[in-house]
Formats: sequence, structure tokens, C-alpha cells
Amino acid sequence: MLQQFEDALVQYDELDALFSQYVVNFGAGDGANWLTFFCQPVKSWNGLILRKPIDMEKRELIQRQEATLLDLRSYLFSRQCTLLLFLQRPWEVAQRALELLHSCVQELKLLEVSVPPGALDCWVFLSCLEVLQRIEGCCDRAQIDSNIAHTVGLWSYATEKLKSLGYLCGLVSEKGPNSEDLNRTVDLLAGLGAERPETANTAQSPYKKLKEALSSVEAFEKHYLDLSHAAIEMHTSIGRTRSARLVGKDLAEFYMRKKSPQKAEIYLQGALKSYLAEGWALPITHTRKQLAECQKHLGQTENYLQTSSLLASDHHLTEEERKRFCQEILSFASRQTDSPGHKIVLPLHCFAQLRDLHFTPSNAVVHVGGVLSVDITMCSQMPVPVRVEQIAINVHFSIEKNNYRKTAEWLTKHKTSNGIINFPVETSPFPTSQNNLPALELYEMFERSPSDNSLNTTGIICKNVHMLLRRQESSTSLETPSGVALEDGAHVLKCRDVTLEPGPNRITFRTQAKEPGTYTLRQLCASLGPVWFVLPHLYPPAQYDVYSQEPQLRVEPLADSLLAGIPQKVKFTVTTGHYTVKNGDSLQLSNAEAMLILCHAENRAVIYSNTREKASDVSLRVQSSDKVTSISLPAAPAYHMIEFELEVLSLPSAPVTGGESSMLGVTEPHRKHKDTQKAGHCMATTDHKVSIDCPWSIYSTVIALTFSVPFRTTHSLLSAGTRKYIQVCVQNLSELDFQLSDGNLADPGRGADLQLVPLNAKSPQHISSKQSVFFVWELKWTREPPPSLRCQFSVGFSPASEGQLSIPLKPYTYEFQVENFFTLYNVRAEILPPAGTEHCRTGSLCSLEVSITRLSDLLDVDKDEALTESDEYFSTKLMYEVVDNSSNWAVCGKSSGVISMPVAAQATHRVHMEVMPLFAGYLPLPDVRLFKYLPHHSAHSSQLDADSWIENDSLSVDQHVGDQLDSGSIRSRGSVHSASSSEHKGLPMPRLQALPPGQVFNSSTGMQVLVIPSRDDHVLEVSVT
Amino acid sequence: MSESFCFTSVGHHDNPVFEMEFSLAGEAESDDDCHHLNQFIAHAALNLMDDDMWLSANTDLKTAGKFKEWFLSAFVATGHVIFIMLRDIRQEDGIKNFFTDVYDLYIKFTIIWYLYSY
Repeated sequence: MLQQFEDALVQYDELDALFSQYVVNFGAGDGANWLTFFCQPVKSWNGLILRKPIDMEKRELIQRQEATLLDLRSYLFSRQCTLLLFLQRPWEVAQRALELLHSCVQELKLLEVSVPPGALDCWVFLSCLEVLQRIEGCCDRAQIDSNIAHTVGLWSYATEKLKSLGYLCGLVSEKGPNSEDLNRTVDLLAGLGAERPETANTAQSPYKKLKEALSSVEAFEKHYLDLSHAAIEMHTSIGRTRSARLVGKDLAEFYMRKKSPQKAEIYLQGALKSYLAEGWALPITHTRKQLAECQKHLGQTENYLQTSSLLASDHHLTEEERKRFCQEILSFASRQTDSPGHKIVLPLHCFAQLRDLHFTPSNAVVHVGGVLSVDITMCSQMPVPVRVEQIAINVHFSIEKNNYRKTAEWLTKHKTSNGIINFPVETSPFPTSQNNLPALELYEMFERSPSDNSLNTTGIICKNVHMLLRRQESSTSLETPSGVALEDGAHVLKCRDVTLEPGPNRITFRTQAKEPGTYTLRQLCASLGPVWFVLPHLYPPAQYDVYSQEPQLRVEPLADSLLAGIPQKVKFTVTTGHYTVKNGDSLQLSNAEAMLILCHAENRAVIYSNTREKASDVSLRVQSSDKVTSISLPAAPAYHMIEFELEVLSLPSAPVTGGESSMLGVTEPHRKHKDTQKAGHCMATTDHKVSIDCPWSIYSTVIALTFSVPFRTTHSLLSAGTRKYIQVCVQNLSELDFQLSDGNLADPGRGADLQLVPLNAKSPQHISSKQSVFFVWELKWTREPPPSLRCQFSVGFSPASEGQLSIPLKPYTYEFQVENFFTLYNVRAEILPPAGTEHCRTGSLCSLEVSITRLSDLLDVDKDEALTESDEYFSTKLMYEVVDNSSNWAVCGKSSGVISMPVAAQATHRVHMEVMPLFAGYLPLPDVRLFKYLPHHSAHSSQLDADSWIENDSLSVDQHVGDQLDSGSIRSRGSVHSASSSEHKGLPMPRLQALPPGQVFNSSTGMQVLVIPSRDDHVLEVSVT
Repeated sequence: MSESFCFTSVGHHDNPVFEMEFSLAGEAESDDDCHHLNQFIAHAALNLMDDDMWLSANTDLKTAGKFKEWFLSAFVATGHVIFIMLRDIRQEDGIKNFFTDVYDLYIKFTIIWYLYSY
């Protein structure tokens, strides 16, 4: 028996295939005349016979050449089936059977064999059940249950065929079969012939089943429902939900025919859900149509209207159909309902879609009482124009705590680009449920061996598998009939009697803002009688703000900073807020003493609306009295701005001569300090406070204006022997150019004995920005000069760019004091070459002669601790010091000493020293400094020698030129420290006081001595200064 | 007997991406009622594909076979896109070539889309 069955099966298969090929070729026009033999009309449709190993009946028919196509196919299949069952391959039988049934139906069509209607359905039905029963006969239940996938096709095919037979024989109609149907049934049953003996005793044979099913409406229903439920169950059990839905949909159709819409609904809903989930547009439309009918029968008004609206907006339907469904809604809406308050709430999206929303003003901020308009674009989905009674937007109101958002400043700063909010267009149909699934969260996984850390396993883990592999049925329904809650808010924007044309429509809502706060647009509803189409949430959220603002006054300079002394413009901005400025309202400015408000013949004010649009331009009346300046405001409505400019003048006052200035005042002419740079270019400022009474408030508003003084002035005292000069430097720190005129220096205290002779140009002088102008006076006196002199400098100034000014400007003044300006000592130094030589040489000693000459008799300034009175004359102690900062000279021997100077005119003290030039060239002379040598305050007991103090390194130098005692002098003198502290060793020490620069005149300043290089030098060093 | 074809391309959410119906030249257009019927069949047939896809190493699912008296062919493209062809006559080779051509186009368009999107 080896291979016998397989070989036989192959033979049958080949025969089968060969025959199939002939049929295909015949269909394609290839003449195989013998095939016409099989094209005889079908007269018998009793199905496959698989219970006998060999169907002798059919074999004989073939032998007799009387077999039809169905007979031949049946015979071949019965042989194949027997062999496959021998080979233990029952599932292949099922599979092949399905294929056979399909291809027989196709072949009969192809060969254009005449088949009575329903005959093939009978044949297929009987064959399906025969195959299934044959398989059941040789397998146990468990095997069958686990191989449903193979048999379910036959089950559903049988169901389908029974259904079409039922329809054909009038078993599905409400009234039952008519005579024509009955005739047809009789014909069909006749074609079945008599039941075969082998199944005659079987209760549930296919033959009996069919005969019974066709016998009565009730029996058909029973059999059809049995089969359908079995097919659905099988499909579902193996996960073929889609096929189950399709069978279910047929079942629903059946129920609808049987006028049982309540049973049909669940199947239609199930099918619709599945199509919606995967976005199959045409099945959705078709199922919805069926569902609409079902809901209509069931009297589910709300659901029916929703389905109708969906269908009316469905572009897969014809225009007529859409209009019909639209009319359904409209006629319901126009019908008078029994309960007037009853509303039917439906989702808006099936009726119309919200495309965009636009606020005017575009930033959606409006003041109390202002008008806001909201424009929306709604795209009507209906095929005909629809008159909507009312379109309303429910608005949620909330008082916002953060008031800043709602001020005018916020308004101007936060302007949205165009104020249009676009709403996403619903792309329907689209598989929504899958889209809502979370993204796949995949992670790599490595598992390493704990011993050697080698990779054991690797893989990918999906961490949210529980979210992804959820049964889809359990997810929420996609088309809930009505889950829309209607909000009932106090704030509603309404628009009545709107006709929505098919396609985009623009609808405008206008509202007057009342309470300040934030208004969020929540729901959009369109109502047609009792039918309300509602968009439950507007997303992205749209909101507008209503603000209330306190009136406000702002005063700010037009330029970066205000300059004192010249008229400056100041901008006044009145933000009216909720206050309405009436005629007669005025601002009362209490005048500050040193600040004037300049009143011109005409001032103009501009009124702006809140959105910075110019509303009007009016003249402004300004009245000024001694103490109060009154500005009459023009009448302006609430939430406007009044802007005007006024000129103010801060009177220039000289800054009180501070320490810096006075220090500069005593600056020695030869010292080039950089302190002026350090002082910087920042202008001195003065603040003026103005108190303003506003009509809207009982409180005064105090406003501080800061004025900057444009000039900085320094003075210095210059000497030439006993002649004295005062130099005043005016530095312009501002950005403006000025014209200076009438520079004057006066000594307010003194009389005729002092005279200040100007050495300046009489014409006005131009002073550019960041530049300086110098003024010089010579100081002359007739009697003994006072120890100090108070001076007042004044200069007229005006901006260079402007022509004639309306008001005379006050001059700029500067007061300072000059002290100890009279020259007491003349110091003269002279370097003489060594005797016998014409010039000094480097390396050779030269003599330095210093002569200190007293120029006046006893004066008030001399009366200090150092003054001693001897027999006839007064004397004072001075200390001299020779310092060479430029290291040109080496002072040999003592470089300093204390001398007792008689206080008498022309008293001269000479000191001789030796110095050595270190370089060749014209060398400046070393500095000779003179200090007043003061005894220690308390103890005069220890009259120590000055030189020993110096050597003790504990000399206290009470001077502010200590920093000049630098390394150059140290080299020449040994060790001198500038120690300002007198705590050294606890000894009482005399003090040195630098003489004021005005009291010492160095007549050898600027002198140079020619030093020639020594002959031995191979290297010539020439210092040129 | 009319020879009509219905081609559907199904995306990876099992949603129809492209549908087209056509009949052989000279044949009358199939009536409108058929459109949704074809989709119903194509949709239900997806279950068969789901089973077969993982059992076969081929992209061409010959086993799709017959469904509801229609000949059904399917082709699994990249990205879990399935091409389905419903037809009422047997024509295996022609369909196979057709699928190969469609797949070619599909790949080209996908690549172009990627190139211009990123």
C-alpha cells in the first residue's frame, strides 16, 4: 500500500487541474468541443456525496457520458476526499471543498450553463454541510474545535447560500412566500431528488435541513439563525472579527426584513464601530444608512437625527440621498413637539465644522464698555442651505487675579500676529482608535552573565504592551449617540437667524464688555428648533480679556536726560482708564522753586484711543501763577490717552564747591594728575519734585524730575613769581554744543584793593560737546592780600543750535575759594660744573646751589607753630629736600635739611650740595621741595636733630605728596619712608607740612643743564628730555 | 460575464489608503451598488490576510484564494501595507505582475516622500 493513496491523489489532482485548464481555455474561446457536453442545463443539484468511498452513480453517469459539470466535479472531489481522509488530512478536505465550490460556481458562469435560480445555492449549501458532516464523522470534537479556521469558511458559505435561498423563496419577507415563491421552492426541492438511502436515517442530514428550512418561514428562520450564530461565533473565536461583522451585518439585514430592528441594531452598531475604527468609508456609509433606518423604526429620535446628520454630510452618498437625510432633520426641527422645553443635543461636527475664529481687536483684549466682535468661519456640511435660529457661544467668565495682563501696557505689548485661531479640520473617515494609541515604548535589554559579564541574552522590551494590546472592543465607543452636555452659562454670545449655506459661512458675534475678567469660549451651539448641534469644547482654547484700568498720569522727559539751565521738553501722558475727562478738568502742578514751567502761547494735546489710533488734536490751556500751574485737560472719553508736551527749565545752580574741586584748586601747576579723568564724565544732577493734583484722585501725585548740570568746572591758581593768575576750566559734559558768553569772575567780599583782570576774549565762545574752555584772570592787589579769596565765576550759556530763545537764561555760576595764594618763598636752584671745566660731565661731581628767598615780611599766614620770635625778628623753620624723580642725578651726601628762615623780605638762605649727572644731554634740574617744619604739638622737650630723625627712619611727613617720594629719591638719600603714621616707636615727632603751591615759586623750573659724556665712556648715553 | 477588478491598498492601521475599480475594456462599468460591496469583502478578507501573512514567507499571498465567490489576491508590501485585488475571473500570473509593478511604484513614492519630508 506504500504511497498508493498519494499516487492516486496526484492522479486525481492532475485530472482535476487538466479539466480546470480546459474550462478556462474554453472560456477564453479555445474550442474544445467535447466540453459542450458538460454545458447541458443543470437539472439536479443534490450536492456532494462523500459518505461512500466511490459514488458509483456518478461514475456510471460519466461512463454513459451523461454527467454534467457538477456531476464530474462531485465525483472527482468525492474520490479526492476519500483519499485525503485515508491520508488523515481532513482539514485539507475542507479547504479544497471551499475552493471546489467557488470554482464550480465560477465555471458554470464561465461556460454559461443554464442553471435555475437558487439551484446552485442549494448545491453549495448541501455540499458545505456534507463536507462538514463528513469531517465531523472522522474527527473528535477537540480536533474540530481547534481547526475551526479550516471549516469556518464552509460554515459562512452555507449561511450565505441559505440566506439567498430564503430571499429567493420569499421566506424573509414579512408576509411570507407568495405563490410564485412557493412554485420556485417546489422546483428547487424537485431538483434535489429523493434523499439518498445512506443519509435517510440521519436526523440532521443536509438534505433534511434544506428541505425543512425551505418548508416554512419559521423553520427557515431557525436554521438561518443557527447557522449565522454559529458562523459568527466561530469567526469571533479565531479572531476574525471582521468576517464576524460581515455575517452579523447580513443577520441585521435579515432582522430588518423581519421587522425586528431592535435585534438588528446591535449588529449594525458593531459593524459600524469596526469600519469606523479602520476608516472604511463606503462600508461606513452603507452601514449608517441601514442603521438610520433601524433607528427610525426603533423611534430613537436622537440617534436617528445624529445618524441622519452624518449621512447628510456624507459625500459618498448621492446628492438626493443627502438632501433626503437633511430634510429629515429639518422636518423634525420644524415639527411642534409636545414638550416645548425638550432639547435634542447632537454633536456639531456632523452638521458643521468650525474652521477658524477671529477676534476684533485682534489681541482679544478690550476695556470695560468696549465692543468686541468674534468672527467664526463655520463650514456647513449640509447639502442645502439651512436656516439656523440661533448660533450661540457659551462663555465661561473668571476673574483673573493677575491684573497686569489687562493693563493698557499689556495691550500694546502683546499684540498677536493676526488674532486668528484655526481649528483642526476633522479628517474623517480615519481610523481614530489606532491613532489614539500611545506610541510604542521600546527599550533594549541586555542580560549579562554575572560571572564574566559576557552577554547572555539581548532583546527588545515593549514597556507599554498592556496599553497597546488591549482589546479594541473594550475601548470606548466611537460614535456615542449623545454624550454632549449642554452648559448653561450666564455669558452667551448670540447670533440669531443665520442661514448656513453649504460650505464656509462667516458669522459675527458682537458683545459689549461688562465685567473685567477673562472670558473663555467654551461651547458652540447651533439650534434648529428643538435640535441643538453642540461643539462641547473649543480647542485650541479661545479667550478674551476685559480689563478695567485706573486713570494714570505719567511724566517723562523726551530726551534721555534733562539738562539743567535750558528749556527741556517733558511729555505728559494721561491714561484716562475708566475716568472720563470732562471739560474743566485740570492738572494742578505745584511749582518747585528752582524749576519753571514755561508757558507758551499755544500748547497742543493729542488724544489717542486705546489702540494708539489718533482720535483728535486739541489746544491746551496752561495757566501759571506764582505757586500753581494749571493745565486744563481737553475732554476725553474713557480708555483714551491724552499726550502733551511742556517745557520746563531748571535753574542752574552751581554745585557747592566740594572737596574735589577745592583740591583741584590747590593743585600745583607742575603736577599732572589724572584725577580729572577718574572723576568721569557723569554730570551732576539735581532732582526737582513736582506735586500734581489730578481731577480723578484726592491724592497728589508726586513726580521727580532729574536734571543734569551740563558743565563741570574746575579752577586752579597759577603763579609767576609774585604775580597770580586764576584759571577756570569749564568742561561740557553733555551731548549738546553751547555758546558761552560774558564769562566773569568776581570777588563778592572784597573791595577795590583786589582786582581781577580778565585775560579772555570778549566774544562768545563755542563749546562743543565733551570739550573744555579755559578762562584766566590775573589777580592784582594794592594792599596786603588776604589769606583766602572767595570767587564767583559766572558765564552765560545757551544751546548753540537754537537761535533766539524765548526767555532769557540765567548764567551758570561756580563759586570757589582760593587760599594762601601769595608767594612767600622763591626757590632757585643752579648747577655749576666743576671748577675749571666748561660743562658738566657724566660721572663727575657738580655743585648744586639752592637759594631760598623770602619775598615778604611777616604775614598772617606765617603765624603758626613753626614761627619763633627771637630778639629782633621772626623766623620759621623750613625743610628742603632735593629729589630727582627722573634719576638723572645722584645726590651725593645730604639731600635734605632743616633751615631756620628769618621772616623778612629778601632774606635768603643758600644751600650747597654735590650732585653727579648720570646721563649726558640737557638734563632738567632735580626738584627742590620745601616743607614747613612744625614741631610736635605737645613736647618740645626732645629737640632732636633733624638729620638724626631722618637716619632713624622715623620722620613723619605730613604731606599729601608722599607718593612722589619714590625710588629715585630713596637711592640718593638712603632710606626715607613716607610714613604718615606717628606711632613709630612711640616717639614724639615733628611734622612736615607741604607749603601751599601758591606760596612757593620755583624760579628754576624748566631749566636744563648741558651734561657732556665723560671721555672714558665707550658707550654714549644721551638723555633727551 | 463581466470581468471586473477591484484594487485596494490597505495601510498599516487596516485602513483603506487607495481604492480603484476597473473592468476590462469594452465592458460596462460596474454599477454603484457594487462599490461598497467590494469594500465589505476586502475588509472582511483582511482577517484571512492576517492569518496567512505570518505563515508564508512570500509577499505574494496566493493562499488568499477565493472569498465570497470572488478571486482574491493579496500582496504584503513594506510597512505592513497590503494590496488586495478582487476579481471575478482566475488570472494568477497577470495579477502577480500587476502587484510587482504596483509595489515598484509604491517603493518609489515612499522614497520620494521620505526624501522631501526629511
